[in-house]
Amino acid sequence: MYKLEAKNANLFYGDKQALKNINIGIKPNSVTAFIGPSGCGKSTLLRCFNRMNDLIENARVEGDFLMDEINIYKDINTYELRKRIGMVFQKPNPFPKTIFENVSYGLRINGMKDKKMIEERVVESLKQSALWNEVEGSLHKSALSLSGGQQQRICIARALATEPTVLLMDEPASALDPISTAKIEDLIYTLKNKFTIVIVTHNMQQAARISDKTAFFYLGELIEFEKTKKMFTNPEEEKTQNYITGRFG
Amino acid sequence: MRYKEKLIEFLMMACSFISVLTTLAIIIILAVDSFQFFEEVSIKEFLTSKQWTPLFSEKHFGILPLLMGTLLTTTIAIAVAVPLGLTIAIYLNEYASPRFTAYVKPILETLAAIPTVVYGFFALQFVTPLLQQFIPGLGGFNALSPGLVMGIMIIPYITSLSEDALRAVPSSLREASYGMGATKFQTAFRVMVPAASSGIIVSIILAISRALGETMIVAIAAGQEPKFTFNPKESVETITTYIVQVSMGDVPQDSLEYRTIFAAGMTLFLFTFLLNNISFWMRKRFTIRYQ
Repeated sequence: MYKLEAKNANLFYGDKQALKNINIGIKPNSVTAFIGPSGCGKSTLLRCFNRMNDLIENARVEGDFLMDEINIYKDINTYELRKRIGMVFQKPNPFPKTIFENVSYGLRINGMKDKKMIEERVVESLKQSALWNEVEGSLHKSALSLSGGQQQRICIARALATEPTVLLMDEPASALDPISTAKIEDLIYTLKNKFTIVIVTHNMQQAARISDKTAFFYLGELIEFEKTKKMFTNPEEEKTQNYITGRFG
Repeated sequence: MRYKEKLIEFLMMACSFISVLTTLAIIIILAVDSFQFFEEVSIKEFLTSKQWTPLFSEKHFGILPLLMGTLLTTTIAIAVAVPLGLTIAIYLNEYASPRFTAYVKPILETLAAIPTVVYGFFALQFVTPLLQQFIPGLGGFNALSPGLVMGIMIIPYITSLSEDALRAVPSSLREASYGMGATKFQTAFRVMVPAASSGIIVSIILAISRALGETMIVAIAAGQEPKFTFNPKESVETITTYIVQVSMGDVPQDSLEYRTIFAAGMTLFLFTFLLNNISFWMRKRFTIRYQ
């Protein structure tokens, strides 16, 4: 059984087709990397799973997207869906609020009032995102006072607080230095036990290091979807071979 | 060539000096005449007396009635303009389509382009009679009607600047909020408005300054009667109105009566100067720097 699934998925921005007949199934508790050159549709596909493309005025989606075999576009309301699927963005985007307010945001908009429960969830999420040791005692400082890497982990903690089962990451380390990147990668590795993670990345070494399976996209098509090990040693398709060896992209 | 460059630089500097010098000159004139005024009238009398009757035979020089009139009309205006102006700004930025905003914002800004004398007659001839049908005991001249109209006049100040402030908030914050499952309303009020708060507060302060200094609307519709009252149904006189009244009348220059307008003007200036400084400080102190 798949955690996330796309069936015959097409997406159009106005007249331009950004996704072409995508079929993909993602298993629970795994890390899946989406790779491909810019404009290949990898981020677009990622954003279909939590309906973030709805925010783009002229985007139109066809086909079926499923989470736990529930149709994402038909059988669940968008707000509920986004609570179950956490998202981390390319640039760290903490709110200009305190660390505590950032992490508790999802709980509060859900209507959670019990202070003790909120506190427990915040601490738990910060521990899960490997940030607790660094921010313990300064929870009421502005999140913007942290470093870029810490801000990104705040964003991960914020996404984890509502206890989602899926985590979508759109190039989460592309704006970070190598040390912060390594921390995020370690984190992704440990989070795999509890979450299904899909990560878009431009960095092929990163995909090779952290993912179980890799999907290669090119011009809106899914060219190849394979175990990462196989993909990076012995890909089936010539295009994949060319891309991962750096001949284009 | 170098000579020409120097000349241009000098001319540009001279231009900027004109505005600085004008401000200084105004402050000096206000200060000198106010000083002469306070040689004859004690500051205590000025600040505590509840009567303002410099033009009567029995003279009292208490600024409080004029100040009350000013604050009353301004408070009414702000009470109208802040909720309306902010709601419009949030609607334009968070709900309406960008195309709709592009059309509506300039239209809204023309509200600020209507001559205030038109607003004044609108208040006197239309709003007051309309209100009189619902509010018994509302005078033909009152604080309420010009206050309300003034509120409408300053809506664009609040909307325009607040909308700019909201638009300056990175849309990545909006995405983050939606990504957590927040509704539009939650995103607007829990993320966008707090993130834009310094700009919003500056817009409100600017609107207050504008309302404090507004002259024509209150001169026409508020009644020019200095009264120590907080009752919006009664007629009042604002500081600005009083200044107009005296400078248009036949009060001899270089008399105590004439100098009252400088003392009154100084009071008004101090208020707006203070507000300006608060907004400057707010802008510096609370501007959030995003990555």
